[in-house]
Amino acid sequence: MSFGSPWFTLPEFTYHKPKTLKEALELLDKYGEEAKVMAGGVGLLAFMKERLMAPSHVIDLKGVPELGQAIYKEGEGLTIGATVTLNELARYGPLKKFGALHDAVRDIADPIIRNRATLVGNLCEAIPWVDTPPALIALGAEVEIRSLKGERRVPVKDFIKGPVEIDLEPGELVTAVHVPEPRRNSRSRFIKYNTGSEFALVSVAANVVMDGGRVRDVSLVYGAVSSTPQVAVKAADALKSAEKPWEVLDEVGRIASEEVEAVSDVLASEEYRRHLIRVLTLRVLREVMG
Amino acid sequence: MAGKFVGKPIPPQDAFLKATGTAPYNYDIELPGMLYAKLVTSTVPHGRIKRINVEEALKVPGVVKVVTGKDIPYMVGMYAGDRDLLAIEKVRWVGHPVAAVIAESLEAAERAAELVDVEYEELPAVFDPLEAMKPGAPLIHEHMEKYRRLPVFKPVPGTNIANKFRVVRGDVETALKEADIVIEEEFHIKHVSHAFMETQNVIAHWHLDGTIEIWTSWQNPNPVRQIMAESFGIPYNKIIVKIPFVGGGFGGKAGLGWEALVAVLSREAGHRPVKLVLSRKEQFTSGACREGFHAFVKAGFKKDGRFIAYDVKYVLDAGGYADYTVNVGRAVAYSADGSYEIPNIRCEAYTVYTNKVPTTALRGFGYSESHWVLEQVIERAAKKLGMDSAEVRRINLIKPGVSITATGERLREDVGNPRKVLESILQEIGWGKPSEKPKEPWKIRAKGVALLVKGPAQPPKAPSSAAIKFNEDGTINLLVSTGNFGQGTVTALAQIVAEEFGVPLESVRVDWIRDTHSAPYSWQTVGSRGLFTDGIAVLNAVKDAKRQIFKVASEALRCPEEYLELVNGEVRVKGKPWMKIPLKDIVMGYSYPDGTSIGGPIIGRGVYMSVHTTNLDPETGQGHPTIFHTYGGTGVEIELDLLTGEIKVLKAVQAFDIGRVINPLLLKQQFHGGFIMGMSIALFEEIKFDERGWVLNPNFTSYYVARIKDVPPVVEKFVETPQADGPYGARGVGELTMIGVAPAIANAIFNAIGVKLNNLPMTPEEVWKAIKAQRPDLIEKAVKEYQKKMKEVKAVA
Amino acid sequence: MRFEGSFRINADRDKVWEFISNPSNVIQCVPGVQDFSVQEGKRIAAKVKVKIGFISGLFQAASKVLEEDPQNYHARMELSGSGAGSGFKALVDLKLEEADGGTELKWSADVSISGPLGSLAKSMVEGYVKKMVDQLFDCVKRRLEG
Ligand SMILES: Cc1cc2nc3c(=O)[nH]c(=O)nc-3n(C[C@H](O)[C@H](O)[C@H](O)COP(=O)(O)OP(=O)(O)OC[C@H]3O[C@@H](n4cnc5c(N)ncnc54)[C@H](O)[C@@H]3O)c2cc1C
Repeated sequence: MSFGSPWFTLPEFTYHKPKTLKEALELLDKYGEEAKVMAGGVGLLAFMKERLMAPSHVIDLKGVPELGQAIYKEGEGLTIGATVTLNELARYGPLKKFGALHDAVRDIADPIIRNRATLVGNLCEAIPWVDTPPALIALGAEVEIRSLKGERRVPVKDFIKGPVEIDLEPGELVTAVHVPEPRRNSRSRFIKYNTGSEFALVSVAANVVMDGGRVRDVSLVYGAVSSTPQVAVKAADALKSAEKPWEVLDEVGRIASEEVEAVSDVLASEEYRRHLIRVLTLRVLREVMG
Repeated sequence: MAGKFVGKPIPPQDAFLKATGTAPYNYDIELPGMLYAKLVTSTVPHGRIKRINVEEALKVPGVVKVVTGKDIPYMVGMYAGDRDLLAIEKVRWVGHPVAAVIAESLEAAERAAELVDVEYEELPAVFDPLEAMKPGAPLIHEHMEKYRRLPVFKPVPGTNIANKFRVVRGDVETALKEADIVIEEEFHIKHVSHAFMETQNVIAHWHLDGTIEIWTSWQNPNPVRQIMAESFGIPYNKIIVKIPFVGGGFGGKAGLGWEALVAVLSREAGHRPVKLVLSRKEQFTSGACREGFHAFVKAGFKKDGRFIAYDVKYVLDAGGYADYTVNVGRAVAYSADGSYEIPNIRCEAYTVYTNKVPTTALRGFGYSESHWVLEQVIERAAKKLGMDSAEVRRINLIKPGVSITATGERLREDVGNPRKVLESILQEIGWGKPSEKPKEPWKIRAKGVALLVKGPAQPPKAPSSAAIKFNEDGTINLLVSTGNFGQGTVTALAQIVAEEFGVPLESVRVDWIRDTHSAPYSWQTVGSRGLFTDGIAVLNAVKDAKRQIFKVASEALRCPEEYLELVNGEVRVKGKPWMKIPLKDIVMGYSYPDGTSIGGPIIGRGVYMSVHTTNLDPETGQGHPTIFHTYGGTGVEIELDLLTGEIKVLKAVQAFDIGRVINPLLLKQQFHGGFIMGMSIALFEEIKFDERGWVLNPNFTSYYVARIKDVPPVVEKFVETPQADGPYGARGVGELTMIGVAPAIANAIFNAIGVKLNNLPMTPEEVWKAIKAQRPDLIEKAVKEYQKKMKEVKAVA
Repeated sequence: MRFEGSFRINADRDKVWEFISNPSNVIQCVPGVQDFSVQEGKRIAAKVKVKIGFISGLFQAASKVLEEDPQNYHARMELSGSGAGSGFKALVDLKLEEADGGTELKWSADVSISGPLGSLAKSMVEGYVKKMVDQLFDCVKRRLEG
């Protein structure tokens, strides 16, 4: 994301390119708050150029081989390493099983940016408008975090705490994102509305488990509407409890548009966002329930 | 006359270098010993500079000097003369340059610029031009009467009005009373950026002997020299302005840019060359954009469709300075009547200062704004009258040789054929035939048309000249100062020369670099005038060169001049093709076998001078403002998604009476490029400001410019009604191709669902808001249709 | 953005008034202040380090008193500044009221933030302002009560 910088040059910093995960963690431990990790650098360098960040140390992860893999295991799910680029991921066959993520990844920016930008970077940037977090949340993904002190896992939903704020302590590193195996009879999609805008004005990820004509379970997550991705609980309940879910779709959209937090900003007004939530809900449910 | 080159689809001469990425732009140029400048800009919208502390900045290694406004208290400008180089005493918008750091490297300059500490005493600011016009509003330019401006501009000292301009003809008050219907509306346009790829950048070297050498990414070198010379009180020949390849201009590189500032920085830095490059953000916040615009109209029509009265007030939101925008305020008023004859008309245009980013010309300036209003007024009136809007247009269209414009100009017989333009658009777009029904019932399709006319907005005296210089081998250097920023005009000029001398196109070269020292004078390359004015100068230069050539050849061949002709690069005796001399044996002088020689190197010179333009009457705006009128129009078929408010253009038709097509390939490119730019401005582009006047989207991720995926097929229609005094009968067209797009789209929506779109841009949100306010039922119906369709899909599955 | 709140300080009103009407007392309580100077007319210029989420930047800030009314224990100030490509302006209103033995400090502020910080992190900025004000008044309280 860029806000537009008056500057052409970066602030001064020391560049590190560790070769192992251990080395990376040691560097992070040593420099703490003074350090920033760099994956693709698309977001980091833009922030630095705009002087919104001025780390004294930049730790480039691209030299660490074990962070560069996407691995799918039948029954367990998909684990995406911290330096896997969006295009590498898009080309990875098993991604298709994770419909919402597949949609989100393939439509980010343009091929040049997708060749550099990573999924983990997109998530860690935690900008309200980015695309992968709603999809990851709808799919129940978790973040794998390491530091010299140990390991922990956090659901993506809790990992994003605010705009540009994530649940990560100095010294910690996100090593991967894990997306669990989709449930049986489930289907997920992600849709964004970004006509006349680089970034989404509103995005939605839906993950539905069908049971005959009824919806057994559904997760509806909205991106770009507020400072963090919004999960629409009441709307999901309305859909689950409906005997004839096809009859209540607009109702579900309306509930979602009223229940989630939505703001006005440079891309859209709150009012229009709420309207788009209603419309996109219809669209995404048509995709996942059809 | 079908020529060998004239009328042929010849690719632009610079295409090869551009396509291979090797064309040298100003951005690429580095001079030995060059320093780098960085601007420090205001963070308050309006304020007095209390203190500028540069101590910390000077400590950064590599910093040579920090210059502030009080060190260089010059005022500059093209028309209003209201610009400082760096803020003197006060700042007028967020982004107003306050100081410039000069350093050995860009890194050092930027680091130091961050450390310059400016303290302001904030003054009350005003952001809305309608507020700014009121008595008692905070004054932004307290002493505008002192500025060195062109006398035709009329500021109102003691207010924020930088220029007031009126065009009055007939008796609007009475006519409005006599009208059977009156349309009363307000229209608004947001600020937009030129969005050229190459941001403004300048290298200046103030040499020790007082010569100022300028390299700049600009449209035309002469105004830069003129304004600098006049402001600094320096002889014109001491200033040399050079322009290499330019990455887009669109009016945003006309007049004067940063050249005067950087020149002074070079002097202050010990006469070393200095380079200043704006970042995209600086381009948005410190450079100038297109003004914000407001129009308040009353238009009276008779039952039979006659447009009898038009009363308009325009207010232009000019920002912190209005240097070129005062001229936009003129153009918008004298173009108010468009392609129609309106007997009673009164337009008042106010160009008003506000504490926002400054503004300037943008492709088609004034005319884009006046047509956004006028063409919608016609559409609204037609509906109210129960008539076909095409018929209302036909009824009111100007008649060549008969009609009189708003400024009282009787149009010439050969002015062009707007009727033919209109009919060809209507035919191509299938006017009157309903659009195919979209498969998705929540969408609708519709057609819309807008006509337009434009001439170059320029002072009455705005000459051009050209020189043709031959080389020893008979090849030709064509010297012009015609700007070359993507339009391809110079290719067309080369075609003309090759045609006239019967030499291969490759034999005619126009240099990449425009330079005030060696190229003949041309006022500016703006207003779609280049091919017309400079083309005439070139033809006159050809004539002059031919005269000299025939004189020598006549002597050498011992044959009277009238029996000679120039064919395939040879002078021949008519009817005796074996009696000939190749050009190369004449152009450096002709030598007889014994070595005695006659003649000498040939230099052809030619000028263009506008003959029928005049100043406009200060009270009534009556007079002849432009050197030609090109009529044209745009038709579109669009699809509107009622669920989101999104408009998609499915098909577009562009038709223009360009008099004579010199190069159909370049012309098509203009038709396409202009359409895309027009559509982008119609549907997407808007500079947004917050409540303190900060630009919210100074970048291309949140200031959206149309992408290739947004672009529909464009059909081009050439209408050719030659203008007797145009080069081969041609007229200018460059800017015009974007003007009709926005009103055509708005008209399509209005035709289909009666929803009025009075505000540009017509973003999905803007359109949705308009539908919600005017026809909320349509949105609810669309949602129902959508659900119904989903159930059908489900049933099938 | 409008903020408001109140604090209780266990000290008498005149003492609190005396403390807060001295700008150098207050500025020393602002979290992140790196450097400041007090100028004539109770103007303050300061450098303040701001950290919001993982955004951080150094702000040049200034404050001036718009109105001071000791009789009614009421003051209005204007704060402004810029940094991280952004700018802010705040109009602050302060009033002291007696409250059973101590003092109730009532404050409100109209804050506008421009530039990337304003467009990106409005909600973050809200959190930041609240935290900053809490820390500021905690400090004032400590200094007066302790
Ligand atoms: C022109 C343009 C268009 C764009 N369009 C879109 C779009 O349509 N949709 C969209 O979603 N995004 C879009 N973006 C944003 C872009 O996708 C993100 O900037 C990018 O995905 C970030 O990934 P990266 O690998 O470059 O991260 P980096 O820039 O390397 O890192 C981003 C942030 O995450 C931190 N970080 C990175 N890796 C880790 C880790 N392993 N552990 C802890 N912290 C880490 C970094 O320190 C930094 O703060 C666009 C950007 C541009 C410039």
